[in-house]
Amino acid sequence: MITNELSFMVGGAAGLGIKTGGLIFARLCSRAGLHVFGNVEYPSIIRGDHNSYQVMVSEKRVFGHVRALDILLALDDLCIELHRDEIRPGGALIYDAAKSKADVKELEGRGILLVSLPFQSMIQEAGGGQRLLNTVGIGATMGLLRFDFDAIAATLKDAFARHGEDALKQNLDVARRAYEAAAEGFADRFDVTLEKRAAPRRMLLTGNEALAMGAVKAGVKFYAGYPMTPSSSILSYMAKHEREFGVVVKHAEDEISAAGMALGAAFAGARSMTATSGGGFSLMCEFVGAAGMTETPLVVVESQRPGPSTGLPTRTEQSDLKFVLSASQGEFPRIVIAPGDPEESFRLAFESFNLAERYQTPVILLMDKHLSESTWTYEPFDCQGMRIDRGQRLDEAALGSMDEYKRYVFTPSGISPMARPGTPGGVFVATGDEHDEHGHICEDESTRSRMMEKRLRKIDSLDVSECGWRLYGDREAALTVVGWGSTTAPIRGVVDLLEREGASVSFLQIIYMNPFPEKPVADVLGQARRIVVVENNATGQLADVIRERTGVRIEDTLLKYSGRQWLLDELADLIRERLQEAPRKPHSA
Amino acid sequence: MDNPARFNTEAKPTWCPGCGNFGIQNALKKALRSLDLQPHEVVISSGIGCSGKIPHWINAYGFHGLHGRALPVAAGAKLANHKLVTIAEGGDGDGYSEGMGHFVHACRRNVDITYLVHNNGVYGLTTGQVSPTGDRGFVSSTTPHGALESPFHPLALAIAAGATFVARGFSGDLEGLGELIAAGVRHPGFSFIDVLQVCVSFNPSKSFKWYQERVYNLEDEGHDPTDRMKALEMVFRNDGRLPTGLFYRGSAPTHEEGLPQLSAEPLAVQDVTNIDVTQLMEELV
Repeated sequence: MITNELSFMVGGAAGLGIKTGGLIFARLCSRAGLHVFGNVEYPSIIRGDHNSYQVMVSEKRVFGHVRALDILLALDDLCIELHRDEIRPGGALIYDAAKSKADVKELEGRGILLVSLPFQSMIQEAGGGQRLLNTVGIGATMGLLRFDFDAIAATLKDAFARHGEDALKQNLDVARRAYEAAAEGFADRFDVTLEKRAAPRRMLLTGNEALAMGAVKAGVKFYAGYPMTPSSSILSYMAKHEREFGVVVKHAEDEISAAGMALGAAFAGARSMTATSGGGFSLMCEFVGAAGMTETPLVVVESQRPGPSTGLPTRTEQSDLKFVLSASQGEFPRIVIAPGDPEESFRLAFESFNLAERYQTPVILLMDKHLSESTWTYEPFDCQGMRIDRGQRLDEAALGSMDEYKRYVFTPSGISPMARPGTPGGVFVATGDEHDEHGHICEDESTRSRMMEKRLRKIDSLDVSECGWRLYGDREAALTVVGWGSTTAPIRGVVDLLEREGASVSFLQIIYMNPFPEKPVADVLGQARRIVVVENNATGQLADVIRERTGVRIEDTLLKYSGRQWLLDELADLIRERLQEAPRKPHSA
Repeated sequence: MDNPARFNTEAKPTWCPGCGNFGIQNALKKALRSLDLQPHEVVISSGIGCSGKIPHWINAYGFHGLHGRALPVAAGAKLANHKLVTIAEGGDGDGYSEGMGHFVHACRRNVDITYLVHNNGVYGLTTGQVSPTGDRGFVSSTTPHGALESPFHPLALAIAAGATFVARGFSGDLEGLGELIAAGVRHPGFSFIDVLQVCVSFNPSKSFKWYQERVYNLEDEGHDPTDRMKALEMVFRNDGRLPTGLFYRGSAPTHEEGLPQLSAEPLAVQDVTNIDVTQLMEELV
């Protein structure tokens, strides 16, 4: 009997409430004191085709998902067809035989328990419609797992209370019917159970929710965006909370306007942010450069999805790294940070505002669909020690004591104190043209050169030798895996697993892409016995960046560009293969 | 405090002698003075082109940003600090070509901005290509066989898009333009002023004299600016003359009125040092 280790998937046509069902299941588990990871997969359509939500449950922290399913809850036949081979022997298929035309005999032959329940008649008996289908399924799943029904009822109440009393009653009714039918008819033939565990209260959240919370904590006062998967949930989160936190949130007419409004607000002195995906970021590029040239603090989130062009709008990829590092014409300082999990998304989003204001330059947070939209369990983040730094600013008194205020005055650090528009004595012009210390257009050769140097040296004082990277495991490990962004979680999961198996393997995560932690990364890689880079793109962009910044050429890459995140078992097998081969030194250029 | 030269700068404009921008610059300074404003209370956001350089030659906070994008920057600045008097300036190539989308949405968004478009029918800074208000058949380096597009009607578009202050000025009419700008700043919400402007270098056939022979003031003809259909009729009146003045004044809630977040002090000056997100985290448990 297995307790509290589960790989569960609910799947069906878009419009059947697959994500809602998956999230309710995940929250039930989270509230039972268990760790959860949830991966949502959906096509870019509103009705039909196929959506799935996979939930991994454990008493330990979960880093990702695996191919094998203990339970497949199939709300239609396409789901059975697509995922039948993923059900492990001894696993279960929950479906409605009365409605299904799928041939499931072969599954029985593989030792898979067929949990057929009359979903449709249960829904009719409860007096509801197809909106109840996901609840029936979750009720049945929990019955099969012999989970405490009272806990289910409590979470359903939270989820459906806002839909009115009738809807709640119907949901509770169908959940109970399905729960009892599965528990009484099938549970004794199934080998996984879920039980409550005493644990700290945990949040169930996505990377986008964590990032948006970090921005709120940082005092973001203005947010403009334009809907684009997978960044849209940042816009809706900010909009939902705008009044309680006194933030103005604008759905602009396009991404250019969103970036322009955010920049205008930052110029006026408010902490300001915009978020988009690669396509929208392409449109924002010119304003990102304008932020660099006018030395205006701006935070931009780029949550990647597979390109080129529209690509796979609702899937995941890490293919905009080099684009973001060089986006917009000309040379200007930019800070590019890639959080690896929701907690880093929270902390680095907060820090981004400090960096943007301290260095008066754009900060880009690189996310991707997997990090933005997957769900994880975390204890509430500890906010001790999170301090606000508004950078060098001059108030009316300080400006009044100066003979002359020059917004872009040359300083050793390159950082020139800012005046906030509206302050007497601070009048200046910001311009995207090259300019003199006052901000006026100037094409003089020496001023141009000095201004370039002034801007570019601003981030020299940003030391990322500690915060820019993380090493999990031993420097002397037989194999060092290198990765960044959302692949951090599956790599950590695999490294954990392989270490438990006795393997010698470490993981180097790169967090700051610019400035880049050149020396420590070169040191780690110089000592490494064998290196492999794992990325979610087709060309090994991090490997290229490492080569450019450290001279270390990494030949061995594991690249996945199918639009899906690495599965833990898939990645573990590939890493194991490398561990079995002899160590190989990296080549240095 | 009431230094009449307070909006003047030491630097001298680099516009061509005889350029209509001088008239617009002077009218704007005159309007700001007449409103008893001080330089630090004003922000001017501009695009790129000859018109876009105006913030350099008016002593006020300025953001000389991107081609066609004066309006988004102005809206962001205004919402971040709603106490700032916010002026956006564009050219006809800048604001009506590259920035056309922002123009339409600024009309319906109704943030309290005064938008001046320096409209001379050509691109000046890139040396004389036809603009969206240039005449059909206009010959320029990009249209050597004559432009095949028809000019569009900025005022009609603004009215159709929901703007509540729609006016046309003439760069040669310092008094009239200054008054229009001041009225635009006083108007709550988005105010749009298309300014007919001479380009002596690239559109010489429409000279100062050419305009002067054609412009007249709507007020003199008893136009009622509260009548939207009548305003449209005046835009499309085709008698060879060019009406100036206030075409349409309506009323609509300003964007700011719909934002209780702005009822306190401006966002830009609020203290952000100790924001508690415990409640946000609790929502996710």
